[in-house]
Amino acid sequence: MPEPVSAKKGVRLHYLLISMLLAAFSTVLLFTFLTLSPRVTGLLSSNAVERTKETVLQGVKSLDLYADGLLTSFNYAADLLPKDADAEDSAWQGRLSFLVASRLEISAVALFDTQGNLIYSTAGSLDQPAQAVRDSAFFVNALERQGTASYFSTPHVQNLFGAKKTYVVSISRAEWFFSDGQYIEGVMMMDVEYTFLRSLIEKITPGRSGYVYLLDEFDELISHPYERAIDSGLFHEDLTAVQQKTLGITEDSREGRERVLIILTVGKTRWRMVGVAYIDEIKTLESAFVRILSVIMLCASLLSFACAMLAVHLVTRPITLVASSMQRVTGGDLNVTIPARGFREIRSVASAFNMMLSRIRSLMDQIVVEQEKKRLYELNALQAQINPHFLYNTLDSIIWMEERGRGREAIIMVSALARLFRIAISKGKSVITVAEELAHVRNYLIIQKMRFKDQFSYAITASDEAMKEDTLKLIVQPIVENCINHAIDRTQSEELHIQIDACTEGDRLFFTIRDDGIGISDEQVATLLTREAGSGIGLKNVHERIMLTYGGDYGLTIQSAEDSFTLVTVTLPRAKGN
Amino acid sequence: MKRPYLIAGALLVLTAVVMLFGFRTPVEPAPAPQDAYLLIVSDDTGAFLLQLKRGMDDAAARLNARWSLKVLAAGEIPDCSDKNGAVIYLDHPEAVLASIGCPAVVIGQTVSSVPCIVSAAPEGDSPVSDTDVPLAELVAMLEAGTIDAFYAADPYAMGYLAVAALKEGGGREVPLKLITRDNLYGKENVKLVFPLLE
Repeated sequence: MPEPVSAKKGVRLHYLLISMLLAAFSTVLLFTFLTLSPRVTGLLSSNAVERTKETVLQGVKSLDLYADGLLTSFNYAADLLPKDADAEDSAWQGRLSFLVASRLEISAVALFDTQGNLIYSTAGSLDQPAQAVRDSAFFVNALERQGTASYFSTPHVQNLFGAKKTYVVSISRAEWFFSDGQYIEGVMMMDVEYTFLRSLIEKITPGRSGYVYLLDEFDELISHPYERAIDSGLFHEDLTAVQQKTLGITEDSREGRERVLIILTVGKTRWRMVGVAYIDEIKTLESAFVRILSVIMLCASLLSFACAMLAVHLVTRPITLVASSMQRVTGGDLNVTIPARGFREIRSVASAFNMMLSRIRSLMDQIVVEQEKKRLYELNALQAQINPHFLYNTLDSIIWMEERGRGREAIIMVSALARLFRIAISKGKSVITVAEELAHVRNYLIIQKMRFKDQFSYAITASDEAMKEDTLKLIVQPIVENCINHAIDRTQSEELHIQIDACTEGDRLFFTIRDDGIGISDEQVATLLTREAGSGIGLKNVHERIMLTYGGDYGLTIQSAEDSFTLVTVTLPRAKGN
Repeated sequence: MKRPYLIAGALLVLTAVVMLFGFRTPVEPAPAPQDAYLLIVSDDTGAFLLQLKRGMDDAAARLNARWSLKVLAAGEIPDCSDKNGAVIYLDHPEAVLASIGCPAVVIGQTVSSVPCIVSAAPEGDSPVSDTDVPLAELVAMLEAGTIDAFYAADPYAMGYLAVAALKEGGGREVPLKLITRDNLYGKENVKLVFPLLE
C-alpha cells in the first residue's frame, strides 16, 4: 500500500500560478520597457536635436534673408555709381542719399578710391586721414576680394565721418566707377546699424537657456547675448568645439551641463551661426516620456497583479474545495459531498469523486453485510458442531461403551470428539489447513463409524500439495454428514462407501466427496444449494460461505445419479502458490 | 469579503492613485526665479546707471534671480522685507544701510560693514582720482588730443558682480580700463566708451 503523501509538502497551486502569471506579465512588461524605452527616447532625443537645429536653421534663413536684402540694397547702390563720363555727380549722389534715407537700417554709403581718399559719402566729410581708411578692415578685405564678393565686417563704431557715431556693420566691395574723367577702382562701403541685426538674432532661442551667437570667417565674435560680459571678462565662450567642427552638430559642456552646438553658415556673409542648446532642456520630452512610461509600467504591473490574484482565485478555489474535501475523506469521513462548482474539468472531477465515494460507501455496506453473513454461517457451522443431538448421541454412545466395558472404544470416541471440537473452534480462525480440515472430518467419521458400524466405509486421500493449502474450515464435514444422513439405503444391507479426496490443479484446490449411495434426483440437485436441507447446516451453508469468501467462481457442484452415486466437488482457490 | 478580492481592490485603488499623480505635469515648467533683489538709487538717469542695470539684468538671467528698481526720495527708507538683498548706488548709503533689513551690496564706494563693488586702478598704476567730466566729453578730449588717455569704470561689470555678490557673498574690485586713442574704438572697449550707441 503506497505511503500517504504529506499534504504539507509541495508548492501551493495558488502561489505557483500567481508566480507564473506574474513572471509572464513581468517578462512582457520588462521586454516592452527595455525595447521601447531606448528606441523612443533615442527618437525623441534625435527629434529634439533636429527641432533645435530647425530653430537655428530658421534663424540662419532669417539672417540670410536679411543679408540678401542688404546685399540687394548694396548692389543697387553699386549700380548707381557713375559708369561713364556723362554721369552727373548730383544725380547718382542724390539717388544714393535717397537710398540711405529710405532704408532705416542703412546709416551711410561711402565711396573711396584705392588710396583711401573719399570720393563721396552720405554721412558728410571724412574725419580721419586717408591712412585710417586704408587701415580699416572693410577697405583691406574689399580690395583683397577684388570685387568678386562683398565683405561683411564685425560690428564697430563708425568714426570715419564727423557725423554722429553709430554702431554698425560695414558691407564693402571693390568697384569700378568713373571719377574725374577716369575709370578707376575704388571701394564702396555701406554701413548698416547693428541694432537691426541684433534684434534678429535675439529672437532665436533654442531652449529656455539656449542662445545663438555669430562668428565671422576668422572666428571672431560678431554677436553674442553675453558679449558685454565677455568684454568685461565676466563670461568666456569656449570656441574649441566650434573651431574643431566648423559645420554641423557637436557637443560640449559648460558648468556641468551638457550642450548641443549647432553650427550653420549664413550664406554670403561667410559668418557662422552657432546655436547653443542645453541637453537637459531640449530633452525634457525624453525625460517626460521615460517618466510616463515608468508610470504606465507600474500601473500595468499593479493591474497585472490584481488580475492574476483574481484569476488564480477563480481557478484554484474549486480545486481547493475538492482538495479539502479529499482531505476529509482521508481523515475517515466518507459522507463528504464535494460541491460541483467551477470549471467543467473541476465539475467533472467533483462529480466523479462523489460517485466514487458513493460506490465506496455502497461497497463498504455490502462488505459489512457479507461479513455479517459469513460470521453468521460460521456461527451456524460452529453451532452444528455443538448440535445437542450429535453431542447427545455421541456422549450417549460413549456412556454405553463404557458401561459395556468397551473403555478403549470410549476413549477413542472421546478423543475424536475432543479433536473434532478443537479443530472446529481452531482458536476462532476461519481458515485452517487442508490437513486440519481432513483431520476434522476424519474425527467425525471415526465417531460416526463407531455409531453406524458397517453401514458405511470411508477413505480419505490427499496429495502432499493439497495438504499444505489453506481452506475454509467446516466445509467437508457437513457434506460427509449429508452423505451419511441421506445416502445410506436403510432398506439395503449394502455398505455405503464414502471417498474423500483433496487435490490441487492449477490455481485451484478441490475437495471431492463421492458416495455410492442412493443418489439424488435432478430436481433435488437443483435445489440443494438453495435451501436448508434437513436439520443440518447443509450444503447451502458451505456453498454460501465459499462464495462469500472467494467469489462466485468457487463453491460446490453436485453430480448425482439415482441409485448410483453422488459426487460433491468443492472448488477453492489455492492460497499458497500455483 | 474574501482576501483575494480585497487585495485586488486595493491594487486597483493604488493603480488609480498612481495614474492620478503620475501623469500630472509631465513637462517641468521653467524654474521660477529664486531670489529677489532691489536696486536702490537716487536718480534713474545716466549712462552709468544704464550699463549698471544691463549688468544686473544679465547676471540675474544667468543666476536665476530677478531685481526691481527703487528710486529713493530724500529721507526715505526702503522696505526690503520681501527681498533677498539690495544693491545700493547712493552717494551716502549709511542711512539706508542702518535700517535696510536685508543683505546689501554697495556700489561705487567702500563701506566697512557690507560687501562693496568698487573700481580699482590696474596693478602697478598710480591711484586714480575721480572726475565729474562726463564720459562723452573725455572721449572728445581724447580724440581732440587734449588728453592722451583716461580711466573708464565698467558699470556693467559692477552691476553684474553686485548681483553675484548678493548670491555668493563677498565684495569685488573691478579694474578700471585705460582708454587711449589706439584702443578707443577697440571691440573690447567700444561698448564701455559708447554705451548709448547700442
